[in-house]
Amino acid sequence: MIAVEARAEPPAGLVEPGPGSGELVRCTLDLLEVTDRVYHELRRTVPLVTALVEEVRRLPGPLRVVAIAPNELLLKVLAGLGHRVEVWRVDPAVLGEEAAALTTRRGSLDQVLAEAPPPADLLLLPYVLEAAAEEPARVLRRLGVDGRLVVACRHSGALIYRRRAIAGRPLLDPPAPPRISLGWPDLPPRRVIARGDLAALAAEAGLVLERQRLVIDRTATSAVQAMSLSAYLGARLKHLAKHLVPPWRDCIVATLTPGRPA
Amino acid sequence: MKVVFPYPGYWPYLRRGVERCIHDLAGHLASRGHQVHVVASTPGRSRTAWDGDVKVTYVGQLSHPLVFGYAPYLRIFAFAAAASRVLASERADVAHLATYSIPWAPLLRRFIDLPYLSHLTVRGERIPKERFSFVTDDPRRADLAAALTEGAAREVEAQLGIDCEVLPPPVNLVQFRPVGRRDPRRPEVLFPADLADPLKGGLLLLEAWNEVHRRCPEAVLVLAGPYGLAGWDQQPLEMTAAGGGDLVGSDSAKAAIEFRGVGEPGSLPAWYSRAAVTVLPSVGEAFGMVLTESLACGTPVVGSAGEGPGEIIGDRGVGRTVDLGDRGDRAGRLATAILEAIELSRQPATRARCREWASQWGLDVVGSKEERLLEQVLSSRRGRG
Repeated sequence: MIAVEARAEPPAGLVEPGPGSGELVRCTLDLLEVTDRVYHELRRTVPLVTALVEEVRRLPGPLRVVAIAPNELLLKVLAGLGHRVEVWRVDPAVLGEEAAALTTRRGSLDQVLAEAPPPADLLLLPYVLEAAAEEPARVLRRLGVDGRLVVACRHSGALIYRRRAIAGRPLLDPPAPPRISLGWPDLPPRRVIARGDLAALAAEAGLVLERQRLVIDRTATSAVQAMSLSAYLGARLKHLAKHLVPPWRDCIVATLTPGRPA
Repeated sequence: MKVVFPYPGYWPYLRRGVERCIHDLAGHLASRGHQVHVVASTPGRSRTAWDGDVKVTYVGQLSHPLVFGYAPYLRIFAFAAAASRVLASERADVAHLATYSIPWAPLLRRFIDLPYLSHLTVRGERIPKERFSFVTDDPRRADLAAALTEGAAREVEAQLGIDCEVLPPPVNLVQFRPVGRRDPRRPEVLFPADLADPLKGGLLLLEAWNEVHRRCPEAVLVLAGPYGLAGWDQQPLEMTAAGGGDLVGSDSAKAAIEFRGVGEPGSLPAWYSRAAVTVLPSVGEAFGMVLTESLACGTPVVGSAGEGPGEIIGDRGVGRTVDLGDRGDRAGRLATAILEAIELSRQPATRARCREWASQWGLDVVGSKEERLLEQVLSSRRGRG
């Protein structure tokens, strides 16, 4: 175990939204005991982890949190904030031994979603709704019994889907078994959810859409993924476009609460 | 002595042999009252940390998609430049330089009076050659050179015409000891090496697994290594041993593979102890630390008949070797060696014999030699002065 003595240089400025949570996430990542390849894969997930952490930090803690298909970084940040975290691990996942101790369910996504959750203040569902075999409204109804749900899902207006539609290609890739992934667990989407549908899905499940926003879910590039100049410039350009045009962003992050709207 | 170990990789970011070797030697020297400083790099922001009594300075890395796209070796020079600044500001008496630490080590010796031991962690063609007078980590320019095994030291002497000491990576026999029971009904075949490094032989092992599973269906293959070096290994994971299930034919053989991932350093002794055999079918291996760690935990091993593993597995009572240079039916021969080693693990005397064999690389033995060699380097400087 390596004990941190002091930071040798001040932290660099952050470009992610919400500098408080962003800095917290980056600091956690910098001290995470993972190998460098895992570090860089988790580094790509910092924008979405930050967005999820921002949602969690809006609520008074400490909370009982159920994290469904999380990554190592999200877990570490939540634990650092003092929350009591339970993990539903979706294989093949790459999680450390600390996460293993928090795991209460393990299997495929559909297996871990099959039963109602234990009493919890908050359930986190990154990329779960669009990947579950079951209809999203049914998943939400089963999970949203008493606690809040924070959902992150890809949406049909995202730049990647717009480009596929323009090119005449199918929006979704053909079904394939999940691959090993060092960032988020690989949850191949089975459907694309439109931004406007989320409120209807929530209502169908007896939940209220408390708030939603569009976020960019990953960094433009990975620092260790070799790229040609043209590929690099293309990736930066796409990222810039998503910054400038919010509807083109990758993901909806929404908070749903139990109960019907007044 | 004030000793410095500059090397680009260190825990937790890299968990391969060189990093463990530096970790153990640095810790041993610190426990002997020396002031020890490791200068390494981090994928995150620069920081200073303490690993027990060892000070660790992590400098930032030069990582960028275009660097890895066009000039990946810039990263080595960037680390060397950052480490040189640290070395210049915090003067040490002597440096231990593993291969590829600082390409301009002779310049540092001249300008900041830093004598060094060149620890050759590679063999054969991979030993750095002198290209320019001072920008080189050619071991002939070092105050003293040491290789990891007797055979490697003799190769260096023959190739380079210099005296070469032997300084193997140590194994901490207090930490690595039998701490768990094997389940003979479910023998575990442990592969703790890098899953993405093609030289470590993970894909060959998966190929051999078909035969091992056919002849010993109760066996379980445990994949417990890291996932490659960030930036240097550009293969997608699914094309490496981490995702190489395509090489395994039957569903039942696939189901008998447990993907455990890289564990915490503290978990390894239990993993080795529970395994029936540890396998490292690597080529180009200068040593093979996972083999000595496994032996220290009382678990027999299988490795190449040549290079470092061939020198480690010098007794059929502690494991089996396979001639990986002969390409004919390598997977079949590897499978046979694994099955023989599983049988070996069932013999009551094997655990003690493996442990005794590992004691020749014990931290006390190797650590004392490290201390002696560094003092020798230091006295040569005093002699010059």
